[in-house]
Amino acid sequence: MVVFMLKIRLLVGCAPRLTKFRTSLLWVCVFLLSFSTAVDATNNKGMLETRYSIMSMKAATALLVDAIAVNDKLVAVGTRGHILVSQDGGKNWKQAKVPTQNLITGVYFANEKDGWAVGHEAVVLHTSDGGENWDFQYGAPYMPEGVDVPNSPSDEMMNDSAEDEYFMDRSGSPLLDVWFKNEKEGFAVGAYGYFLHTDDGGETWADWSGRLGNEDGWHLNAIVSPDDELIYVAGEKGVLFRSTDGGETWIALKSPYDGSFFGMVVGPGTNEALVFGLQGHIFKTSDRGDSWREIETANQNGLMAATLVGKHGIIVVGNGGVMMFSNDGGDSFVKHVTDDRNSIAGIVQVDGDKLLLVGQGGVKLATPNKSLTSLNQ
Amino acid sequence: MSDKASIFEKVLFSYRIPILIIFTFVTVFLGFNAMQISMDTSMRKMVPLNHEYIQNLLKHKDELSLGNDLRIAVEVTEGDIFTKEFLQVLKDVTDEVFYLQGVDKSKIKSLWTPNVRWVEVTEEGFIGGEVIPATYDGSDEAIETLQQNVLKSGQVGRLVSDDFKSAIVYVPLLDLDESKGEKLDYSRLSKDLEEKVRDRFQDDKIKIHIIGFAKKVGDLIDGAQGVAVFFLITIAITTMLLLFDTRCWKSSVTVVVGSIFAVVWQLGIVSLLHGWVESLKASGAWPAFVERFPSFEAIQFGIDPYSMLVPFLVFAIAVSHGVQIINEMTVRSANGDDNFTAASGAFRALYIPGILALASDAIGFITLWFIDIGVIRELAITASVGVATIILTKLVFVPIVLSFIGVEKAGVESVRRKQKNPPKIWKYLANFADPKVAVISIVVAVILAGVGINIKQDLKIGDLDPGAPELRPDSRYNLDDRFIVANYSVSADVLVVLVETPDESCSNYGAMNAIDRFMWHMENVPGVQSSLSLVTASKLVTTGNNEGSLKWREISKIQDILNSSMGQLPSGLMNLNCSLAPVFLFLDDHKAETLERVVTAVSDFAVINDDPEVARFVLASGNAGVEAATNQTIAKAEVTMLTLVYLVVCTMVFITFRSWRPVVCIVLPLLLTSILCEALMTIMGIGVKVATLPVIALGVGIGVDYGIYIYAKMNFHMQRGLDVKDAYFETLRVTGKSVVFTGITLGFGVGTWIFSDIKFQADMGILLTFMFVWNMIGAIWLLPALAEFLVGKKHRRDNLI
Repeated sequence: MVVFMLKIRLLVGCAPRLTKFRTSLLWVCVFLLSFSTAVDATNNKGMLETRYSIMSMKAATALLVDAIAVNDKLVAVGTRGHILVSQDGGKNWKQAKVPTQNLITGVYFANEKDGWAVGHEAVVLHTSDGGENWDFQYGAPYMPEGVDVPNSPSDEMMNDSAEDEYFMDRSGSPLLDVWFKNEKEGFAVGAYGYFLHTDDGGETWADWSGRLGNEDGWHLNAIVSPDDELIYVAGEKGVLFRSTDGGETWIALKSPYDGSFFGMVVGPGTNEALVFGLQGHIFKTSDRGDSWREIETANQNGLMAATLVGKHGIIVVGNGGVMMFSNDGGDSFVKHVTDDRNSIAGIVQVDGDKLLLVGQGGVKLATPNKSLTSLNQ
Repeated sequence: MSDKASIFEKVLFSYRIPILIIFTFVTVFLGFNAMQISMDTSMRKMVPLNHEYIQNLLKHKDELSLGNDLRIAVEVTEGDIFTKEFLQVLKDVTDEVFYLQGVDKSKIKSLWTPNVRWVEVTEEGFIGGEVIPATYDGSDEAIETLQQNVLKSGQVGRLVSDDFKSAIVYVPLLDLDESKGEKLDYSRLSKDLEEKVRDRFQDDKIKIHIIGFAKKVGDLIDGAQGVAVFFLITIAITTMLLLFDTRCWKSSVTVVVGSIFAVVWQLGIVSLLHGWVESLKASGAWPAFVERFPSFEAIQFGIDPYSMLVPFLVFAIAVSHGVQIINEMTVRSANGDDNFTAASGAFRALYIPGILALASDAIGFITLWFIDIGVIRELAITASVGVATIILTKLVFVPIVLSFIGVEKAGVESVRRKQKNPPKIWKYLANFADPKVAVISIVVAVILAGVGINIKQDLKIGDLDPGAPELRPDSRYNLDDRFIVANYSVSADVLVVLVETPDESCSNYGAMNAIDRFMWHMENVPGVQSSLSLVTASKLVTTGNNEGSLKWREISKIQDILNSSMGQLPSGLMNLNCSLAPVFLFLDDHKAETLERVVTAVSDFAVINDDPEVARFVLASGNAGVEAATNQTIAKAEVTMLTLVYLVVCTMVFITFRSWRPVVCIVLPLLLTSILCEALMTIMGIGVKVATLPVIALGVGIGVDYGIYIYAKMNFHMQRGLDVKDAYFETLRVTGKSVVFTGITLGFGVGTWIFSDIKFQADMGILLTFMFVWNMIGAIWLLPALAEFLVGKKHRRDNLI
């Protein structure tokens, strides 16, 4: 363990210099890291309280915070361990069997069958039947002092770890987003710099926070990738990270903002991306995040999620029912506010012309309006 | 009927003048006391004090202020609230409310008060300000800023309606204004709200809607005072009926005045009792008294919207008994007796059956004592007192006065005429005792009973109308209530579950988690719309601390995070030493089945999850909690009370006639009336509740009079050798008129209540009128049919032998 931590430190030391000594150091880093992944992140899923989410008629109208389309299917996650699956474009929802009542914060499917959901107490849930049944793969429940934890590292190890600048007792904190490259390899990000990696479909998880260089342990709110090689992580205090090698190595991007980013969307061009967050700030890059430009909007509500629509369309949604529409790839936005003003935390395009919004009031199917129709042209 | 003068008669008629002087003196004294009587609307006596829910509520009463407040919605009829003109009106209303008596000035909330703020998470942390900043100048820009602030303030649905067409001034009240040491005067506050707020600001463009417990009580007091007018109407109608019946203004006025005296006595005695209770309380002897007589705990002897019924009943019963005296006296005068002889003869003939009938009334009322709710117990006492006063005025005042003034010739003539030519109607009605007609009557009665029983299967317990069930559904208060419920996130029906934890533990994760799970458990119970507790607030604050991200809307197991979220808790979500947290459940309605389903779900959860070390879920508070307790008490008492009433009535009849046959003849028609009354309640959507349960007891208790009266006469004639039909004809000829008259008098006596502004008084009026009239019909129609079957055959058999 001590050896491992030292190596991590070395890695951080080399990260900023990556561009200079790219070829030579990269090899070293890759070597060191592949070694380090052999050590698991402390997995206390055995300590999680298994309390199945209650089957409820009201689940589709209770808080939901993320949603994803998996081919013809929609999956939405949210409060009290609710995972909902719709087979008919969001009209009817069926509640999945989930062994926790914690708030589920993120969901991702690597294929039709295999999906992962993350949530509070750092739970990682896995389904292999397309979302109907879920099992614990990881968890780190809060351990108040004095509680004997069977799986925890020995005191000696704890002391050693505590010396490390990346060590942080994150037990009880939430994971906030999840992304999988394929059915084997994936990442989960979360509070206080949670950065977990798996390469065996979630059986074991390694703490890769050291690879990121998030020294202050800022919350990581979103992980997005357009093509499995290029990956972005965005978080609190404007932190932005990028990997161009499928997540093996990361660099911290120069941030245009010191408030929180809640989400990110890559596109419409491969080098383009939007990052958005607190106070309605939206920034756009056209060079994979090397430089950013603020997009002026009339909105001050926090923005939480976004989706690409058609060739040049982007819709960003957020608190207070704000929906920001762009039909020029994010260079300008028109603001719209939903009637109910419920905060929106997730958006998915359905059947090409409808929008699934999830948030405060649960699921909501938005009918396309003029601005959306123009986006599709 | 003895012809010998009893000791009472001797004393009474020997000392007429002194007795009248004493009587007048007592009447003046009690009348003076009756003037002192005041409206008492204390909550304590309206609820079942000994019910577990209420006990729990009282135990925690001082720890939580569950809010005595008012909401004044100012609505703009055209456009929205974001205009200079509207905002000025809202400001004026806010300022006006500030000076009303009983208002907790520092806690008033409206868009104009500095305690209503908008908050925003920025890079620097939280920033915020007043929704209407000090720099507001009414310009378009200022209004635009204000509009933004309103959206950011999270007050949409609270202080501003969902459609932006109205805004609320929220006014918390102080039950006791300590600076002035005066108790909240609901009547005055309600009047102020009407005069200084509604009348002043309401016009074509602005509408004012006011709701809140205090306003409701104010409207109830107003409505109850309106009933005083009904009393005058009742007196007028009754006097006219009397004149029409007796054709003699002297005796009519005597009976009306005597009946009014009975009411004065009753009110005066209640007022004296009230003074006595007050003095016990003042001297500190009350706790000891209550300990000895625990059932008196809630009794205060004020007049309230329920016990207001008693004067009407007393008046009606007094008049109907007075009529008998006039009848008897007129008949005697027609036979040539002088005034004195006629009056003493009438007294002699009537004092025993009169006292018996009144005693059975009183005992019927006393069964109400078994319903453990203060107002009903007071009703039991005051109604019994009322009946006692009737005995005095009817058997003392009226005979003595009539012995002086006698009856008019016109009255005597009318009686003579009728004695010679009895109206045909009695001939026809006598057929009810004919064996063939009797069979049909009994079949009809059985069918009616069957249909009635079938309908009353759906009889509900409790209040069924939405809003404030005490007031009419289309009353101004309920219209206001509907407006505010439709446009704001408030529910009129709230069940509060009290969560008890060890000291300083209400914000521990264990308790919070249990509450959180409890809330979701309850939100999934049909009838529960939403819930609110410190967990709700904690989740909101945690979300805010995490920059508004919904992904943090969770109670954290990390106690530090949890604690930091409790720092900004709004008041009323926990007590001072954090050992009690209320969970507010907002319900669809307050129908008994909804309440029962919800409280059962709470108990189910509590059985599994109660842990004295962590949290206990205790019922109940809130209007829905009180109603659930009341419903349970009523449901439990209903069977007991009905059984007792009928037992008492059966016993009284049995003692009078020493045979089971008359018991059946007299009680079965009453039973039919009770069944039909409950069927009527089902059809009219009136539930069994505090107001209507006593009605059934009163209806039966008073209804038995007719039966006893008719059967006694029939019995008398049958013993003279007449068969049932002839005996019945003779009975009708002499007393039929007064029986019908009594039914009509009693019906009119309480019938005016149907027009009361107070819904439950109207319900009482409808049901009592129905019962009085139907009991009369039952006595005239069904009683002889039953008698023909049960007594007639035996009578014939006995005569054969």
